[in-house]
Amino acid sequence: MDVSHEHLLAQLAVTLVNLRDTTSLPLRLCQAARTLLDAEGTAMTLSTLDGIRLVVAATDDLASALEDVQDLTGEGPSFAALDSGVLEVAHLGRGSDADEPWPLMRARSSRLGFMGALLAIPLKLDDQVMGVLSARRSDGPTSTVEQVGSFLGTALTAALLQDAELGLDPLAHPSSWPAQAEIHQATGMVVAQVGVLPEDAMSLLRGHAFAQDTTLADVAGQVIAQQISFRHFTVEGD
Amino acid sequence: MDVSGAAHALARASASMTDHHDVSGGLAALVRSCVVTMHVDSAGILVGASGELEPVSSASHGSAELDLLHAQVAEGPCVDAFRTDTAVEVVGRENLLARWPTYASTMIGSGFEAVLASPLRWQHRSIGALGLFRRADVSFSAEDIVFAQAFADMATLLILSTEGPSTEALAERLDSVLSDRIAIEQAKGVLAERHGLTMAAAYDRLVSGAVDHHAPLATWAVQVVRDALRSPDELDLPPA
Repeated sequence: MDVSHEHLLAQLAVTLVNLRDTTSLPLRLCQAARTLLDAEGTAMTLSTLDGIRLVVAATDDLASALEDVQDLTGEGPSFAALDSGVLEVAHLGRGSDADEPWPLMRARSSRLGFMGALLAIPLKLDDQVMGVLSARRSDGPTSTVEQVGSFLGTALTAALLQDAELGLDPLAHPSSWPAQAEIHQATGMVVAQVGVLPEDAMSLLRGHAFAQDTTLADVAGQVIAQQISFRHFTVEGD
Repeated sequence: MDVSGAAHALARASASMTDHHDVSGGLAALVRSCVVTMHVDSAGILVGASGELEPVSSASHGSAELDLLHAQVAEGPCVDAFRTDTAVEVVGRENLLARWPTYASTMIGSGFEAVLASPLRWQHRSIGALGLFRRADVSFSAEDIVFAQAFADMATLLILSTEGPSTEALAERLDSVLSDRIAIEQAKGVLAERHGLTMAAAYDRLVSGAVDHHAPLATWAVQVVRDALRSPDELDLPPA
């Protein structure tokens, strides 16, 4: 099937207008992208200039969890697309093929029970990559994914940047600030507990999640619930 | 409505934004495409300047068509769409006269009996409106309304893209929005930990701290996190 640029643009316009005002802008864009890519779930990640990744919207829990796994292992298609500026695909649940990249991420994500393709589409403005849209499809990428992805990467970025607050204004959309907020709250708590820099505090959380074989979001939740404290935490070997 | 034609027109407009373009030329092409693909008889764009609407583009410069736009000083469909930031559709002489007594007589006098006005939206407000006019009193379909808004959105992008911020400026803005949000969440965590507060109470405390110190919220949040670095609340830290 030939997918023309104009056809995609029209589809995007219709999808977006139909979703208008129901949810925050990033989530609307995720929902529109899910429709256009015929995907089961999507998540949008933005990145700061000093490399902090932030999942700003996800259509469902599995989409968030697949991002969390990449944050935890520090590898995966999202990271790769942010660097390369081109579409990256991870084929998950295929067993241990030594040729496949991102072994840590693939091993961890196999526990989420998802088998299929995880696509990472760079969100671009001119040549600058602002973030990544992840989409999962059990049936693997569609034949038109390159074309649709490249259109979406540009169109979603343009749409996102129309909003000065990127749809992240907590007053306008109280529910828009995603679960990832908890990771940064927990980071702040660890900063107060041990007096380390936020990036080191986040590494502590990440290390703990890795060691406990759980997710970053889960560890953050436990820190906030005061089930874990790093006050007396020492890393083995220190 | 001619869906594929409308889609094509939108795509052409988006392509012209990436070239170096002239705004008037782009808008003129856009309103002409509207007339052809949306099956309307006239179309025009008005943009708000210090509270009043100024016509910036019209599908035709016939006197009747120009009157449709110029007459919308105090009232009219584009004025309403602009002020309320929502699409306005009115069909039929009686309805028109009931809604805009003065404007409707100009519109009907020029031979038009149905109108759909869509706001040009930019960052939660409206910068103008796109008006589509029909001579026959034929209603607009749900699909017409969706596409009219897409044309209006495209017109907004065309108007603002010339004076819009550079890529670098947009990248910086994105960075600062994200960094601010992260700092605020971290500061909530710091305050929650130090004072045994819930995250909601920590946020209130952060906000009142910023007010007391006459600092922007994000700046104050960064300060709160820095303070925690200098003096973690744990006094019996193990020796480094």
